[in-house]
Amino acid sequence: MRVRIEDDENVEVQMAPLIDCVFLLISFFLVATTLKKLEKELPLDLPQAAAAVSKQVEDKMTVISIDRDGNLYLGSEPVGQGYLGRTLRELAGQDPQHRIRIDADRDAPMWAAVQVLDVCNFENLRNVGIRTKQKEG
Amino acid sequence: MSASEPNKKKVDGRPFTVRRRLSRWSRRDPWFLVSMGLHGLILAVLVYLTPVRQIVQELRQASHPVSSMSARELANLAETIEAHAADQIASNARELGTVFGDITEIQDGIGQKFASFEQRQRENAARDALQAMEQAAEQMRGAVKSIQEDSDVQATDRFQALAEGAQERAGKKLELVGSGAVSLTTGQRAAGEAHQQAKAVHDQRSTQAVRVGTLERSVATEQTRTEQARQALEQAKESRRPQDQVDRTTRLAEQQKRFDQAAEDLKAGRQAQERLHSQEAESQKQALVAQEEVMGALRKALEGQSGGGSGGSWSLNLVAGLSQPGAGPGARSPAAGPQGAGGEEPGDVAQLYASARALEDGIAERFKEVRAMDLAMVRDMTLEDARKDIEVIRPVRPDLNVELLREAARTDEGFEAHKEEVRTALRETSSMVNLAHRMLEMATQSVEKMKFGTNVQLAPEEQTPDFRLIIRDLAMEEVSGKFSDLAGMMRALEGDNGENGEGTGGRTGAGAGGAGGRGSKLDYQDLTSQEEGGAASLPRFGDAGPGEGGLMPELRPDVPAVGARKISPDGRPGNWMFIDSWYTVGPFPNPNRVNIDREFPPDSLVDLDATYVGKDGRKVRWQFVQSDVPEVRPPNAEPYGIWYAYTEFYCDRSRDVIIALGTDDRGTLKINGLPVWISSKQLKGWDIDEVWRRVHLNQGINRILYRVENGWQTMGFSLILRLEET
Repeated sequence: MRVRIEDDENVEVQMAPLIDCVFLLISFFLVATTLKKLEKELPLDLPQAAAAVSKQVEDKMTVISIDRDGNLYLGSEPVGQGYLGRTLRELAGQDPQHRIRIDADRDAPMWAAVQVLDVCNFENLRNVGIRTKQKEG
Repeated sequence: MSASEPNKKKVDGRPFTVRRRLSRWSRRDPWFLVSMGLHGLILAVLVYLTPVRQIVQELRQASHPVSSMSARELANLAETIEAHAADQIASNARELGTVFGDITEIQDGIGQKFASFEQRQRENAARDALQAMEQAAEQMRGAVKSIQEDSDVQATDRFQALAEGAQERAGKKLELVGSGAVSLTTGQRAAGEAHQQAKAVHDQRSTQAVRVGTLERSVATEQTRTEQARQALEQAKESRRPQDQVDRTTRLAEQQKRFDQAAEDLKAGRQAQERLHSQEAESQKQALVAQEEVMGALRKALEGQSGGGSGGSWSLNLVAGLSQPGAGPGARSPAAGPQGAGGEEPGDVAQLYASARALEDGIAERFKEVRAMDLAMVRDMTLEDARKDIEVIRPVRPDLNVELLREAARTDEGFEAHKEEVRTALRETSSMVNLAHRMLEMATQSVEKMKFGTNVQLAPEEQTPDFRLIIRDLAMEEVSGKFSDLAGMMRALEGDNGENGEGTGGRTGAGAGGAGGRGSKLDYQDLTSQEEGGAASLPRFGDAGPGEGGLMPELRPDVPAVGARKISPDGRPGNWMFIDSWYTVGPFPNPNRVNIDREFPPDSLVDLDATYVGKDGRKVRWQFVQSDVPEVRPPNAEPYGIWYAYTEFYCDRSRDVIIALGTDDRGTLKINGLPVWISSKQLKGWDIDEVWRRVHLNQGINRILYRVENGWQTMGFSLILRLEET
C-alpha cells in the first residue's frame, strides 16, 4: 500500500496567528499615531541654544510663531495682534496653566517676541516657552 | 538538487515554492485566502484613516509638486474649495446684513431722540449764546486786569484762550438761532475779531519782552567788556608803555561805542514794549466793549421776547431750518440697504465679497451717523459740524483678483493663487463681521449713554446733568487747569450705567466706590458741587506722602518708577508707575493743523488688526512699542501728523488714582471712553507732569487711548500713576 506522507508534517511555525499578531501590532501603531495631532510647522530658522531642554510636545499646546518680518501666526494661520490677544484671553480664562510655545525665527524682530511675551504676561499665562534648536556638538 | 538552489526541498520531484505552498494551503483550507484578503483590507482602511496617508501625500507633493494632479482635477478641486468658501462667505454676508439691519434700527431710534435734543438746543440757543458771551466777557476782564497789573504772560494767555473758546461757542449758538439774529452774529464776529487783534498785540508784546530780555543781557555783557577795557588801559598807563596806551584807548573808545549802542537799543526796546503794553490793554478793553455791546443787545432781545414784545430790531427765529438727523450722507431707509443686505445673494466668491464690502460700508456710514449724533450732544455742536469731525471707519481691504477667481485653475501655480484669493476673501469677510459686531456694540452703548434727548419730557427739576458733558469740561486743560478731579464723576457714571443694568463693554466690577453703589440713588446736585469745589478740594500730597508738601509733587523726568500695566497684590512695590507697553498707529494727516478736532477711526473704535489710510495715503497699522522710560515715542514718529496710542491696564480692584500726564505736542487722553485730559491747542514740548488728574479705574481691564498731535521736531507722551492712594 502506498502511504502518502505529507511533507509538511514536520514541525513548523503557524503562519496565521503570526500574521494576526503582526496585524495587531501594525494596528496598534497606526491607531497610536492618530492620537498625536499633526502639527503644521512654518519654515522658521530657529535660534540655537546650548542649554536647550528637550521637552515632549504636549497635545494641548498653543504654538505662536513669529516670522522674520514680525508677522504673527497661531499654529500655521496668520493672525493679527488683536485676534491673538483675544484668543490668549480666552485660553487664560479656560486654563491659566495652558502651555504656550513661541517659535520665533532667529531673524525675527525682538519687539515682536517681546510683544507676545507681554501679552501672555498681561493675560496671566505663565507657562510659556521659547522653542530653540539644540546646539550641535 | 541544482547547485543554484541548494536549500530548496523537492516535493513530488518539483522544487518547493511559496506559490505551491499557498496553492496547497488553499486546497486544504480555502478560508485562509479569505482571511488574508480581509486582513489586507483592514490594513488598507487603517492606513487610509490615519495620518500616514496625509504624510505620504505630502511627501509625494513635495517630491512631485507639478505633476501631482491633472488640469481637470485641479480645476475641480479649485471649484470645490471655492464652493465651500462661498458658503462661508455667504454666511458672513448674511451676518453683516443682520448687523446692518440692527444698526439701521439704532440709527432711526437715536435719530428721533436726537431730533428732540436738537429742538431743545435751538430753543435754548439764544440763552446759551448769552451765557457763552458772559463767560467770554468775564475772561476778557480777567485779561485786562492781568495786563494792567503786568502779571505773568501765561496768565493773560489763559484768560485770552478761554475768552476765545467762549466766543466761538457763542458764535455757533447764534448761528443756531437762525436768520433773526443776523445783526447779532455780525456783532459777535466783530467782537471776535477785536479779541483776535488784542491777542495779536499781546503776542507782539510777549515777543518784545523776550527781545528786551536779550537786549538787557547784551547791555550787561557790553558793560562788563567796557569795564575790562578800562582796566586794561589803566594797567597800560601804569606800565608806562605809550604804544599800549594808544591801542587800549582806541579799544576802549570802540567798546564804549558798542555799549552806548546796546544801551540805546535797550531803551528803544523798552519804549516799544511800553507802547505795546498800553496798546495791549487798550485793544483788550475795546474787545471787551464790543463783546458787552453784543451781549447787551442779546439780553435786551431776550427780555423783550420773554415780555411778549418784538424785542428790538430783530426777533429770535427758533424754528427755522431744523435739520433732519436722519438726512445725513449715510442715511437710507432700512429697506434700501446695500446690495445683498437680505435679498437675492450672488453665489460667486467675488460677488459675495463685493456685497460684504458694500454692507460693511453701509454699517460704517450708519455707525458714523450714530457717533456724529453722540458727538454733537457731548460737544454741544451742530450735527453738520459733528459729521465733519468724524471719519468713517473704513479699514483698508484688499481687492480680489476677479479674473483669477473666475478662470479655471489648470496649473499648480494657478491653483495656489486661486486658493489664496479665496482664503483672503474668507479672512476679510470674517474680519468684517467682527468689526461690524463691535460697531453695533459701540452704537448700542452710545444710545444707552445718551440722556439729553430722552429727558426732554421731564420737568426741569427732574432733569439730571449729563456727566459726560461735565467730565469733558473737567478734562479740558483750558477750563480746569493743571489739576482736575474726575474720579467722582467717573464713579457716578459707572454706577449710573450699572444701575440701569447696562454693561459698558469691558467694564468689570461694580465700580461704584464711595459714591453710592449699585442700586443706590445718586445725589447729582451734591456730586456736581463737589466737583466744582475748586482749589480747596484739591489733594495735598508730596514726596513724603499724602497731606504733605504742596498741592502737586514736583516730578522729575527720571523719577524712579516701575514700568508695567497691571496693578496686583503680587506686583513690585513702588510709589510711582508708568505705563510702558502701548500700541501706536499713525501718522494721520494734519496739514496746517486742520484736523486737530477731527476724530479718526481709532477715536470711535480701536481695532488692533485694522489697517487705515493715513498721511499721504500711506497704509498705517498698529505697532507695538515698549519703553523703559516714562516718555514713550512711536517708532515711526515724524513731524506734522496725529498718532494714537492704545493700551489695556489691569486693576485688581476698582480704585481712584492720581495720574500725571504729558505729551509733545497736543494730547488727549481717554480712559474707558471718557475724556480725562484735553490739552490746550498750543504746540508744546513734553513734560512729565504737565497736568495731574484724579481718575477712577475699574476692576479688571481698563482701556486707555491717547491721541497725540505732533507739530514739528520730536514727539512723545507719558502716563504715570501714583500708586499710593489719596
